[in-house]
Amino acid sequence: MIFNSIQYLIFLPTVFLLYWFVFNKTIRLQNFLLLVVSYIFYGWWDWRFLSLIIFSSIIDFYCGIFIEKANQKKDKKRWLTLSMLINLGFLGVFKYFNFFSNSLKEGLFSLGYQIDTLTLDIVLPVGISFYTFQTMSYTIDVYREQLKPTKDPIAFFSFVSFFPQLVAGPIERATNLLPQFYTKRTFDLEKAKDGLRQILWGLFKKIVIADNCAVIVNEVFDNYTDFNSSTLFIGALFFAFQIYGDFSGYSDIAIGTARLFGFNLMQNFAFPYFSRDIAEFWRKWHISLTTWFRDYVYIPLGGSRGGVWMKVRNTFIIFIVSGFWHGANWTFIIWGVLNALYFLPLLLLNKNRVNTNAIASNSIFVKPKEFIKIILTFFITLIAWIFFRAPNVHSAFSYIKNMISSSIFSVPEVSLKPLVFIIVLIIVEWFQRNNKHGLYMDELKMNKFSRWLIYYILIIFIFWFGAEKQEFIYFQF
Amino acid sequence: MMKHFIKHSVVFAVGVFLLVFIGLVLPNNNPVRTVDYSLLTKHNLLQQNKQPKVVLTGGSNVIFGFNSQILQDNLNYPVVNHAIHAGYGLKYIMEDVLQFVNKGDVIVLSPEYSHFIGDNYYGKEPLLFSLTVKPSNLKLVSLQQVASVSEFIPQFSFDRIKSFAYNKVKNQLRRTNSEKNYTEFSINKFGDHYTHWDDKSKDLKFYNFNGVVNVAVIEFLNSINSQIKRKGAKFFISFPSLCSSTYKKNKKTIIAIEKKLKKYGDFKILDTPKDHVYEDELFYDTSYHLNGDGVTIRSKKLASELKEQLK
Repeated sequence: MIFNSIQYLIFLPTVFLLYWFVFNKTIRLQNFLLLVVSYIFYGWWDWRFLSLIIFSSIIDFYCGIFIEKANQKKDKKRWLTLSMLINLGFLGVFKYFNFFSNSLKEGLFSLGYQIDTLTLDIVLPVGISFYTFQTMSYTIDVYREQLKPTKDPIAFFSFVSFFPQLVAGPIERATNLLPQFYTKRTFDLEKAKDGLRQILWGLFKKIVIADNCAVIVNEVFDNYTDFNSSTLFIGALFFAFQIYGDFSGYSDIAIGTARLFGFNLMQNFAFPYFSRDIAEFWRKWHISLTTWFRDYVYIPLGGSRGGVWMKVRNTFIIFIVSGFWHGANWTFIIWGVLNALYFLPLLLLNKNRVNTNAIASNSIFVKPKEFIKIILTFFITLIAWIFFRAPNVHSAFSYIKNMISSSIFSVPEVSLKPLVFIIVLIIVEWFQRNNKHGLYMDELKMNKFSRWLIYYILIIFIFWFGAEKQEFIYFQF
Repeated sequence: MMKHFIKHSVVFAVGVFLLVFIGLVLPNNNPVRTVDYSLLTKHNLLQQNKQPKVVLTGGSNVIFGFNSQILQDNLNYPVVNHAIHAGYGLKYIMEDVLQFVNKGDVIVLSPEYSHFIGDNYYGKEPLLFSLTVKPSNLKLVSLQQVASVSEFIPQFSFDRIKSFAYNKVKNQLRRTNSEKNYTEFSINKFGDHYTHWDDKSKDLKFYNFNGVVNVAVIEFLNSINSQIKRKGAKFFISFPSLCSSTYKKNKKTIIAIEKKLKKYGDFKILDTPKDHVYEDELFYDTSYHLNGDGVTIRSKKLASELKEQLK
């Protein structure tokens, strides 16, 4: 089931009413309802994949308990290893098997050996990278004794499969989300209203921004040899906003939905295209994944504590793993390497935490120097996005090569309609940059009529300008 | 608190539903009705022709793909081109034509490749449009189809509002080239879209319909084949016309569709996908819509394929 569907329009209010009016006697009952509806939500794609998520939940539930029970460190480690092996094993088989198999074949072929490798006809289960990372955070935190293992299977299974964030995040830490399944949830009117606003803003970003950009992006990337440089630039620019609208839109809907049920999920995007350097960008883009890698990979590797080479090594590892997390394709790995190359100078010059203050905090307009920094940061991320979107590395390089020519100053050969929506998005988000989402409203400063007028305008915008429905990009990860 | 929230949410939702409802009940004030309205003419053609006839059906690759006069001259059968829009969905298209099948008829279906992907065969927004053209066809629509196309209702409603507002603003009709095509008057006496035959080709739209082939579509075609046979008629499949650029992009999916059609289909397939792949220059505005020259080539080709079968 996807958020921008008629099924979800029926599903969400039904679950809401059942949750607060029928299953509201105990937390356990509410958790049970959340578990059942989460499985329905997930099974809507393919019910067979439910077996994976159930199996993964069973393994991690018991691994957590056995880690705590084990007296010796090495026994604790054994249970943690089992959990890691199973979770990463699922990812390996379902997501990466064919990539490694084909890469081995091509590698040997280039050395003059010809072998037949096994490739599996596997469909990637939706959201596997998200829920696998979420459950792994649980066993790691239990192992590190940062979290007591739960003895309540319903709470744990609901935590793993919590439908708002199950298929595309935010990837929640067990330390943040799991305790919320033990505590009584009370309906908070302000939270619920703000949740609905965040859902509406997420839908706007997905349907108006991302889906409209997608039409042009698909056309340009599929036929990039036929277009002039300015069109290729527009294609890359639109992809930057497509992926932002798509993914941050999904996160907004997920966070807003969770708030309706009394849950707080972490912020996943903090207006990343207003970043003044790449380090700031990575503190604001897909925050739940970036912090996951920071806490469970980067810091255990030594982080930035060691010498220069250790810093360089760890930076490359973290970005390459991050790229590889997105998909089994060299394009994602190069995307990761590029970001590492962007990041490295800041790290080595100790300037990676220069821009931690709010941008233009006391002014409506940004200073010219900061504006230039924003544009430059956006431009280098745009180049990296070309690798992310291209079907293969060769196409990405050709795309960039074709983009650099004198025809960059000619008229683009595709519709620029999405540019209007992008400008609307930038203006709204600029004014909301210090809030949690683009439709945050202070009810004390705005009367009901104005608020409702804005909601209706947004809905009309969504229906009027919404493009043909496209699947959320991050479902494939 | 909760009461307040639910009350306000319901009031707000009613407002949204009203907005959508307004769009659904707005009259069609377009002075030149779209090609969807040719469905009524096509139904008349099918009803009037009681003798055995060849019926061409499918999506726009068919209405834009044939000169039925050529087929009629070659086959000595009356020909009716029943096709309009692929977006109606294969299920609706076939169940609509089935109402008019008589003994001795020859039904030739050229489905668009996208019909075999996912649940596209249930139809999309154009199906809602067709139902406004002929509301009595609602009886052909299953609950699953309703569920599948219901998500297009808001979009459909707003498209109607847009069109209504646009036509209101436009004071007087100017018959430009764009209004010559895609209207209910753009079809000839057989049901072929013919007004574009002498037009210059426009920028072609290329498609990408890669995806997983839905075998349920082939099972549905098997059941259609049985029903046609029971009526004493014949059923054939011919692959759609497609420009070579789009073919190259989607070759893998097209081959998969062909393989599955051959493996699971109980019906006769007249040709292969490659037989109806033509150079891009022979297309008018999309990867499926042939121009005048293309129409002639494809019509002759199908005529010779059918001749073999009808000997």
